[in-house]
Amino acid sequence: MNEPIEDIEWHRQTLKQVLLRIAYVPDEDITEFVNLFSLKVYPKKSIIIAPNNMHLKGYFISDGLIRMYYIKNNKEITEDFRGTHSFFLNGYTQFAKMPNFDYFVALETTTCLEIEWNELEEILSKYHSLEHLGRRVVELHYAESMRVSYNSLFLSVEERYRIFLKEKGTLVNKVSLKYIASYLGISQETLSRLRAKLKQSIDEKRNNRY
Amino acid sequence: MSKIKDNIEEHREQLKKYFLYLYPNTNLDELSELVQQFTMDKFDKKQMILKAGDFSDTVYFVYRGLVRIYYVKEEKEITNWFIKENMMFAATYSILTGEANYSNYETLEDTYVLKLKYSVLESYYAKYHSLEHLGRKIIEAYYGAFMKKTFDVLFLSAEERYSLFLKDNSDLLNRVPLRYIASYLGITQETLSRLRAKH
Repeated sequence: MNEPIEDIEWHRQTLKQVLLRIAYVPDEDITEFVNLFSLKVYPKKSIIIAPNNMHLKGYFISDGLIRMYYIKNNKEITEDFRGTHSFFLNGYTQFAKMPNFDYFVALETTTCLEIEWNELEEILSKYHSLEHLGRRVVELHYAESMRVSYNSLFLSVEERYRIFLKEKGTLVNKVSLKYIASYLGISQETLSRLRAKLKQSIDEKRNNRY
Repeated sequence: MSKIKDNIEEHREQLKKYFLYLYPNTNLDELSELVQQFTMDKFDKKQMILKAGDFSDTVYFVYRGLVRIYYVKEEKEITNWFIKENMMFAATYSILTGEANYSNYETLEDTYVLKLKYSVLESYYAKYHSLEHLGRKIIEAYYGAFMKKTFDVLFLSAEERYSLFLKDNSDLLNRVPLRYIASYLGITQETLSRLRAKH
Protein backbone atom coordinates (compact mmCIF):
# COMPACT_ATOMS: atom_id res chain seq x y z
CA MET A 1 0.00 0.00 0.00
CA ASN A 2 1.12 3.52 -0.76
CA GLU A 3 2.08 5.86 2.05
CA PRO A 4 -0.37 8.73 2.60
CA ILE A 5 0.64 11.99 0.92
CA GLU A 6 1.61 14.52 3.59
CA ASP A 7 1.49 17.69 1.53
CA ILE A 8 -1.75 19.38 2.59
CA GLU A 9 -1.70 21.66 -0.46
CA TRP A 10 -1.97 18.62 -2.70
CA HIS A 11 -5.12 17.49 -0.88
CA ARG A 12 -6.62 20.98 -0.92
CA GLN A 13 -6.16 21.14 -4.68
CA THR A 14 -7.97 17.79 -4.97
CA LEU A 15 -10.84 19.08 -2.82
CA LYS A 16 -11.03 22.23 -4.93
CA GLN A 17 -11.35 20.23 -8.14
CA VAL A 18 -14.05 17.98 -6.69
CA LEU A 19 -16.05 20.99 -5.44
CA LEU A 20 -15.76 22.88 -8.71
CA ARG A 21 -17.41 19.96 -10.48
CA ILE A 22 -20.50 20.58 -8.31
CA ALA A 23 -20.84 24.34 -8.73
CA TYR A 24 -18.89 27.30 -10.05
CA VAL A 25 -17.11 29.27 -7.34
CA PRO A 26 -14.67 32.15 -8.01
CA ASP A 27 -11.07 31.10 -7.42
CA GLU A 28 -10.49 33.54 -4.56
CA ASP A 29 -13.50 32.27 -2.58
CA ILE A 30 -12.77 28.59 -3.05
CA THR A 31 -9.12 29.02 -2.16
CA GLU A 32 -10.03 30.74 1.10
CA PHE A 33 -12.50 27.92 1.72
CA VAL A 34 -10.16 24.97 1.16
CA ASN A 35 -7.48 26.67 3.26
CA LEU A 36 -9.77 26.25 6.28
CA PHE A 37 -9.48 22.48 6.06
CA SER A 38 -6.91 20.58 8.06
CA LEU A 39 -5.41 17.22 7.24
CA LYS A 40 -5.88 14.10 9.27
CA VAL A 41 -4.82 10.54 8.57
CA TYR A 42 -6.92 7.79 10.14
CA PRO A 43 -5.25 4.39 10.48
CA LYS A 44 -7.12 1.34 9.26
CA LYS A 45 -9.91 0.28 11.67
CA SER A 46 -9.90 3.55 13.61
CA ILE A 47 -13.17 5.19 14.55
CA ILE A 48 -13.65 8.61 12.97
CA ILE A 49 -17.07 9.34 14.46
CA ALA A 50 -18.50 7.36 17.39
CA PRO A 51 -22.14 7.42 18.60
CA ASN A 52 -23.24 10.50 20.59
CA ASN A 53 -20.59 12.60 18.96
CA MET A 54 -21.35 16.29 19.39
CA HIS A 55 -18.20 17.66 17.77
CA LEU A 56 -19.49 18.69 14.36
CA LYS A 57 -17.22 18.78 11.37
CA GLY A 58 -17.39 18.37 7.62
CA TYR A 59 -15.16 15.69 6.13
CA PHE A 60 -13.72 15.12 2.67
CA ILE A 61 -12.04 11.80 1.92
CA SER A 62 -9.02 12.70 -0.16
CA ASP A 63 -7.88 9.11 -0.21
CA GLY A 64 -9.31 6.08 1.55
CA LEU A 65 -12.47 4.27 2.43
CA ILE A 66 -14.88 4.36 5.35
CA ARG A 67 -17.84 2.31 6.50
CA MET A 68 -20.87 3.69 8.31
CA TYR A 69 -22.77 1.27 10.51
CA TYR A 70 -24.95 0.92 13.58
CA ILE A 71 -25.60 -1.87 16.01
CA LYS A 72 -29.04 -3.37 16.39
CA ASN A 73 -29.80 -6.52 18.41
CA ASN A 74 -26.04 -7.04 18.81
CA LYS A 75 -25.58 -7.05 15.06
CA GLU A 76 -23.66 -4.54 12.97
CA ILE A 77 -25.76 -3.16 10.12
CA THR A 78 -23.83 -1.37 7.38
CA GLU A 79 -25.51 1.86 6.29
CA ASP A 80 -23.11 2.91 3.58
CA PHE A 81 -19.54 3.07 2.33
CA ARG A 82 -17.75 6.24 1.26
CA GLY A 83 -14.61 6.16 -0.82
CA THR A 84 -11.99 8.52 -2.23
CA HIS A 85 -13.35 11.98 -3.19
CA SER A 86 -16.56 11.72 -1.23
CA PHE A 87 -17.92 13.74 1.67
CA PHE A 88 -19.44 12.76 4.96
CA LEU A 89 -20.65 14.29 8.20
CA ASN A 90 -22.53 13.32 11.32
CA GLY A 91 -25.94 13.75 9.68
CA TYR A 92 -28.10 12.68 12.61
CA THR A 93 -26.64 15.26 14.96
CA GLN A 94 -26.20 17.92 12.32
CA PHE A 95 -29.50 17.73 10.44
CA ALA A 96 -31.86 15.61 12.54
CA LYS A 97 -30.69 17.41 15.72
CA MET A 98 -30.47 14.18 17.68
CA PRO A 99 -27.51 12.22 19.06
CA ASN A 100 -26.10 9.99 16.35
CA PHE A 101 -26.19 6.24 16.88
CA ASP A 102 -23.87 5.27 14.05
CA TYR A 103 -20.14 4.65 13.72
CA PHE A 104 -17.87 5.94 10.95
CA VAL A 105 -14.83 3.69 10.69
CA ALA A 106 -11.82 3.68 8.37
CA LEU A 107 -11.63 0.41 6.42
CA GLU A 108 -8.16 1.31 5.22
CA THR A 109 -5.70 4.11 5.93
CA THR A 110 -7.88 7.13 5.19
CA THR A 111 -6.70 10.67 4.56
CA CYS A 112 -9.34 13.28 5.31
CA LEU A 113 -9.57 17.02 5.02
CA GLU A 114 -11.74 18.32 7.84
CA ILE A 115 -13.40 21.60 8.69
CA GLU A 116 -15.04 22.68 11.94
CA TRP A 117 -18.76 23.16 11.33
CA ASN A 118 -18.92 26.67 12.82
CA GLU A 119 -16.09 27.76 10.53
CA LEU A 120 -17.92 26.26 7.60
CA GLU A 121 -21.12 28.15 8.49
CA GLU A 122 -19.13 31.34 8.90
CA ILE A 123 -17.51 31.26 5.48
CA LEU A 124 -20.75 30.18 3.79
CA SER A 125 -22.36 33.27 5.30
CA LYS A 126 -19.51 35.37 3.98
CA TYR A 127 -19.63 34.26 0.33
CA HIS A 128 -22.82 33.67 -1.63
CA SER A 129 -20.93 31.45 -4.07
CA LEU A 130 -19.97 29.08 -1.24
CA GLU A 131 -23.48 29.18 0.20
CA HIS A 132 -24.74 27.99 -3.17
CA LEU A 133 -22.14 25.25 -3.27
CA GLY A 134 -23.11 24.18 0.24
CA ARG A 135 -26.77 23.94 -0.70
CA ARG A 136 -25.92 21.86 -3.77
CA VAL A 137 -23.80 19.47 -1.69
CA VAL A 138 -26.62 18.96 0.84
CA GLU A 139 -29.12 18.43 -1.99
CA LEU A 140 -26.91 15.86 -3.69
CA HIS A 141 -26.51 13.90 -0.47
CA TYR A 142 -30.20 14.06 0.33
CA ALA A 143 -30.97 12.82 -3.19
CA GLU A 144 -28.51 9.97 -2.72
CA SER A 145 -30.08 8.97 0.62
CA MET A 146 -33.53 9.00 -0.93
CA ARG A 147 -32.29 6.88 -3.81
CA VAL A 148 -30.83 4.31 -1.41
CA SER A 149 -34.11 4.23 0.49
CA TYR A 150 -36.08 3.93 -2.77
CA ASN A 151 -33.86 1.04 -3.91
CA SER A 152 -34.26 -0.87 -0.67
CA LEU A 153 -38.05 -0.41 -0.85
CA PHE A 154 -38.64 -1.39 -4.44
CA LEU A 155 -35.71 -3.30 -5.90
CA SER A 156 -34.77 -6.93 -5.50
CA VAL A 157 -31.54 -7.88 -3.77
CA GLU A 158 -30.07 -8.85 -7.13
CA GLU A 159 -30.90 -5.46 -8.65
CA ARG A 160 -29.44 -3.69 -5.63
CA TYR A 161 -26.26 -5.73 -5.85
CA ARG A 162 -25.94 -4.83 -9.55
CA ILE A 163 -26.34 -1.14 -8.66
CA PHE A 164 -23.73 -1.52 -5.92
CA LEU A 165 -21.33 -3.10 -8.45
CA LYS A 166 -22.00 -0.34 -10.96
CA GLU A 167 -21.66 2.58 -8.56
CA LYS A 168 -19.24 1.25 -5.97
CA GLY A 169 -17.70 -1.66 -7.88
CA THR A 170 -14.17 -0.61 -7.05
CA LEU A 171 -14.96 -1.27 -3.39
CA VAL A 172 -15.76 -4.95 -3.93
CA ASN A 173 -12.17 -6.05 -3.59
CA LYS A 174 -11.50 -3.80 -0.62
CA VAL A 175 -14.54 -4.49 1.54
CA SER A 176 -15.16 -7.74 3.35
CA LEU A 177 -18.14 -9.64 1.96
CA LYS A 178 -19.88 -9.68 5.32
CA TYR A 179 -20.12 -5.88 5.22
CA ILE A 180 -21.52 -5.91 1.69
CA ALA A 181 -24.06 -8.55 2.75
CA SER A 182 -25.18 -6.44 5.73
CA TYR A 183 -25.38 -3.36 3.47
CA LEU A 184 -27.74 -5.29 1.18
CA GLY A 185 -29.63 -6.71 4.14
CA ILE A 186 -28.93 -10.33 3.24
CA SER A 187 -26.91 -13.20 4.67
CA GLN A 188 -23.40 -13.90 3.47
CA GLU A 189 -24.59 -17.20 1.98
CA THR A 190 -27.20 -15.42 -0.15
CA LEU A 191 -24.55 -12.97 -1.31
CA SER A 192 -22.21 -15.82 -2.29
CA ARG A 193 -24.97 -17.50 -4.29
CA LEU A 194 -25.75 -14.18 -5.98
CA ARG A 195 -22.11 -13.64 -6.89
CA ALA A 196 -21.84 -17.16 -8.32
CA LYS A 197 -25.00 -16.61 -10.35
CA LEU A 198 -23.81 -13.29 -11.78
CA LYS A 199 -20.42 -14.75 -12.60
CA GLN A 200 -22.07 -17.63 -14.41
CA SER A 201 -24.25 -15.33 -16.48
CA ILE A 202 -21.21 -13.23 -17.42
CA ASP A 203 -19.29 -16.38 -18.40
CA GLU A 204 -22.21 -17.53 -20.56
CA LYS A 205 -22.38 -14.19 -22.34
CA ARG A 206 -18.66 -14.35 -23.03
CA ASN A 207 -18.89 -17.88 -24.38
CA ASN A 208 -21.81 -17.00 -26.61
CA ARG A 209 -19.70 -14.45 -28.40
CA TYR A 210 -17.60 -17.15 -29.99
CA MET B 1 -68.85 23.64 1.79
CA SER B 2 -68.96 27.16 3.09
CA LYS B 3 -67.14 29.79 1.15
CA ILE B 4 -64.10 31.07 2.99
CA LYS B 5 -62.85 34.46 2.06
CA ASP B 6 -59.23 34.12 1.16
CA ASN B 7 -56.74 36.86 1.55
CA ILE B 8 -53.53 35.85 -0.17
CA GLU B 9 -51.45 38.44 1.67
CA GLU B 10 -52.41 36.84 4.95
CA HIS B 11 -51.20 33.47 3.74
CA ARG B 12 -47.99 34.91 2.40
CA GLU B 13 -47.39 36.29 5.89
CA GLN B 14 -48.00 32.81 7.24
CA LEU B 15 -45.42 31.41 4.80
CA LYS B 16 -42.97 34.15 5.81
CA LYS B 17 -43.28 33.07 9.43
CA TYR B 18 -42.55 29.50 8.44
CA PHE B 19 -39.41 30.56 6.57
CA LEU B 20 -38.29 32.75 9.47
CA TYR B 21 -38.72 29.81 11.81
CA LEU B 22 -36.27 27.82 9.63
CA TYR B 23 -33.83 30.71 9.30
CA PRO B 24 -34.53 33.65 11.64
CA ASN B 25 -31.94 35.92 9.99
CA THR B 26 -33.48 35.88 6.53
CA ASN B 27 -33.45 39.40 5.11
CA LEU B 28 -37.05 40.63 5.42
CA ASP B 29 -37.21 42.64 2.18
CA GLU B 30 -35.82 39.73 0.21
CA LEU B 31 -38.21 37.34 1.92
CA SER B 32 -41.19 39.59 1.07
CA GLU B 33 -40.11 39.60 -2.56
CA LEU B 34 -39.87 35.82 -2.54
CA VAL B 35 -43.27 35.11 -0.98
CA GLN B 36 -44.86 37.47 -3.54
CA GLN B 37 -43.94 34.89 -6.20
CA PHE B 38 -46.14 32.23 -4.61
CA THR B 39 -49.65 31.77 -6.02
CA MET B 40 -52.75 30.20 -4.48
CA ASP B 41 -54.30 26.91 -5.42
CA LYS B 42 -56.98 24.68 -3.97
CA PHE B 43 -57.49 20.91 -4.04
CA ASP B 44 -60.73 19.18 -3.13
CA LYS B 45 -60.90 16.50 -0.47
CA LYS B 46 -59.76 13.09 -1.80
CA GLN B 47 -58.03 14.69 -4.77
CA MET B 48 -54.77 13.24 -6.04
CA ILE B 49 -52.25 16.08 -6.31
CA LEU B 50 -49.35 13.97 -7.54
CA LYS B 51 -49.19 10.34 -8.57
CA ALA B 52 -46.36 7.83 -8.50
CA GLY B 53 -44.61 8.04 -11.87
CA ASP B 54 -45.21 11.79 -12.20
CA PHE B 55 -42.47 14.33 -12.59
CA SER B 56 -43.02 17.51 -10.66
CA ASP B 57 -41.05 20.67 -10.04
CA THR B 58 -43.42 22.54 -7.75
CA VAL B 59 -43.14 23.21 -4.02
CA TYR B 60 -46.30 23.64 -1.96
CA PHE B 61 -47.01 25.32 1.35
CA VAL B 62 -50.26 24.20 3.02
CA TYR B 63 -52.00 27.08 4.74
CA ARG B 64 -55.13 25.05 5.43
CA GLY B 65 -55.89 21.39 4.90
CA LEU B 66 -54.25 18.01 5.03
CA VAL B 67 -52.31 15.87 2.59
CA ARG B 68 -51.31 12.23 2.89
CA ILE B 69 -48.15 11.00 1.17
CA TYR B 70 -48.01 7.27 0.54
CA TYR B 71 -46.45 4.68 -1.71
CA VAL B 72 -47.80 1.36 -2.89
CA LYS B 73 -45.80 -1.79 -2.33
CA GLU B 74 -47.08 -5.29 -3.05
CA GLU B 75 -50.54 -3.80 -3.55
CA LYS B 76 -50.47 -2.24 -0.09
CA GLU B 77 -50.57 1.47 0.63
CA ILE B 78 -47.86 2.59 3.05
CA THR B 79 -48.38 6.05 4.51
CA ASN B 80 -45.15 7.97 4.79
CA TRP B 81 -46.14 11.46 5.91
CA PHE B 82 -49.06 13.67 6.83
CA ILE B 83 -48.69 17.28 5.75
CA LYS B 84 -50.93 19.70 7.58
CA GLU B 85 -51.19 23.47 7.82
CA ASN B 86 -47.89 25.35 8.08
CA MET B 87 -45.94 22.57 6.42
CA MET B 88 -44.41 22.31 2.98
CA PHE B 89 -44.37 19.41 0.59
CA ALA B 90 -42.89 18.70 -2.82
CA ALA B 91 -41.95 15.72 -4.91
CA THR B 92 -38.48 16.07 -3.43
CA TYR B 93 -37.31 12.80 -4.93
CA SER B 94 -38.33 13.90 -8.40
CA ILE B 95 -36.95 17.42 -8.01
CA LEU B 96 -33.56 16.36 -6.66
CA THR B 97 -32.93 13.18 -8.66
CA GLY B 98 -34.66 14.20 -11.90
CA GLU B 99 -36.41 10.84 -11.87
CA ALA B 100 -40.09 10.00 -11.59
CA ASN B 101 -41.59 10.42 -8.18
CA TYR B 102 -42.65 7.19 -6.41
CA SER B 103 -45.14 8.53 -3.89
CA ASN B 104 -48.76 9.55 -4.16
CA TYR B 105 -49.96 12.83 -2.69
CA GLU B 106 -53.64 12.81 -1.83
CA THR B 107 -55.72 15.33 0.11
CA LEU B 108 -57.68 14.12 3.14
CA GLU B 109 -59.49 17.46 3.47
CA ASP B 110 -60.10 20.44 1.21
CA THR B 111 -56.58 21.76 0.95
CA TYR B 112 -55.42 25.30 0.24
CA VAL B 113 -51.86 25.92 -0.78
CA LEU B 114 -49.36 28.49 -1.90
CA LYS B 115 -47.15 27.12 -4.63
CA LEU B 116 -44.07 27.97 -6.65
CA LYS B 117 -41.90 26.28 -9.25
CA TYR B 118 -38.62 25.05 -7.81
CA SER B 119 -36.73 26.71 -10.68
CA VAL B 120 -38.23 30.08 -9.72
CA LEU B 121 -37.36 29.45 -6.08
CA GLU B 122 -33.79 28.70 -7.15
CA SER B 123 -33.63 31.90 -9.19
CA TYR B 124 -34.33 33.79 -5.95
CA TYR B 125 -31.66 31.76 -4.17
CA ALA B 126 -29.26 32.92 -6.86
CA LYS B 127 -30.41 36.53 -6.56
CA TYR B 128 -30.07 36.89 -2.77
CA HIS B 129 -27.52 35.33 -0.45
CA SER B 130 -29.82 35.20 2.57
CA LEU B 131 -32.44 33.32 0.53
CA GLU B 132 -29.82 30.84 -0.63
CA HIS B 133 -28.99 30.26 3.02
CA LEU B 134 -32.69 29.78 3.77
CA GLY B 135 -32.80 27.29 0.88
CA ARG B 136 -30.02 25.27 2.49
CA LYS B 137 -31.79 25.34 5.85
CA ILE B 138 -35.01 24.09 4.21
CA ILE B 139 -33.20 21.15 2.62
CA GLU B 140 -31.35 20.40 5.86
CA ALA B 141 -34.64 20.39 7.78
CA TYR B 142 -36.21 17.98 5.31
CA TYR B 143 -33.12 15.78 5.23
CA GLY B 144 -33.18 15.78 9.05
CA ALA B 145 -36.86 14.75 9.16
CA PHE B 146 -36.11 11.96 6.70
CA MET B 147 -33.26 10.69 8.91
CA LYS B 148 -35.30 10.98 12.07
CA LYS B 149 -37.99 8.82 10.53
CA THR B 150 -35.38 6.21 9.60
CA PHE B 151 -34.20 6.19 13.22
CA ASP B 152 -37.73 5.90 14.65
CA VAL B 153 -38.52 2.89 12.47
CA LEU B 154 -35.21 1.22 13.32
CA PHE B 155 -35.07 1.71 17.05
CA LEU B 156 -38.40 2.70 18.57
CA SER B 157 -41.19 0.39 19.67
CA ALA B 158 -44.70 0.81 18.28
CA GLU B 159 -45.73 2.38 21.57
CA GLU B 160 -42.89 4.89 21.51
CA ARG B 161 -43.68 5.81 17.91
CA TYR B 162 -47.32 6.28 18.85
CA SER B 163 -46.57 8.58 21.78
CA LEU B 164 -44.20 10.63 19.59
CA PHE B 165 -46.96 10.91 17.01
CA LEU B 166 -49.42 12.07 19.67
CA LYS B 167 -47.05 14.75 20.88
CA ASP B 168 -47.08 16.68 17.59
CA ASN B 169 -50.18 15.37 15.90
CA SER B 170 -52.90 14.61 18.42
CA ASP B 171 -55.28 16.66 16.23
CA LEU B 172 -54.77 14.17 13.40
CA LEU B 173 -56.50 11.41 15.37
CA ASN B 174 -59.79 13.11 14.54
CA ARG B 175 -58.83 14.13 11.02
CA VAL B 176 -57.29 10.97 9.61
CA PRO B 177 -58.82 7.48 9.18
CA LEU B 178 -57.17 5.19 11.71
CA ARG B 179 -55.96 2.76 9.07
CA TYR B 180 -53.70 5.50 7.64
CA ILE B 181 -52.29 6.28 11.07
CA ALA B 182 -51.67 2.57 11.65
CA SER B 183 -49.83 2.28 8.34
CA TYR B 184 -47.83 5.44 9.14
CA LEU B 185 -46.75 3.85 12.43
CA GLY B 186 -46.08 0.50 10.77
CA ILE B 187 -48.57 -1.37 12.95
CA THR B 188 -51.94 -3.09 12.50
CA GLN B 189 -55.18 -1.29 13.22
CA GLU B 190 -55.78 -3.65 16.15
CA THR B 191 -52.48 -2.71 17.77
CA LEU B 192 -53.31 0.96 17.25
CA SER B 193 -56.68 0.48 18.98
CA ARG B 194 -54.96 -1.18 21.92
CA LEU B 195 -52.46 1.69 22.16
CA ARG B 196 -55.24 4.28 22.02
CA ALA B 197 -57.12 2.55 24.83
CA LYS B 198 -53.99 2.57 26.92
CA HIS B 199 -53.08 6.26 26.48
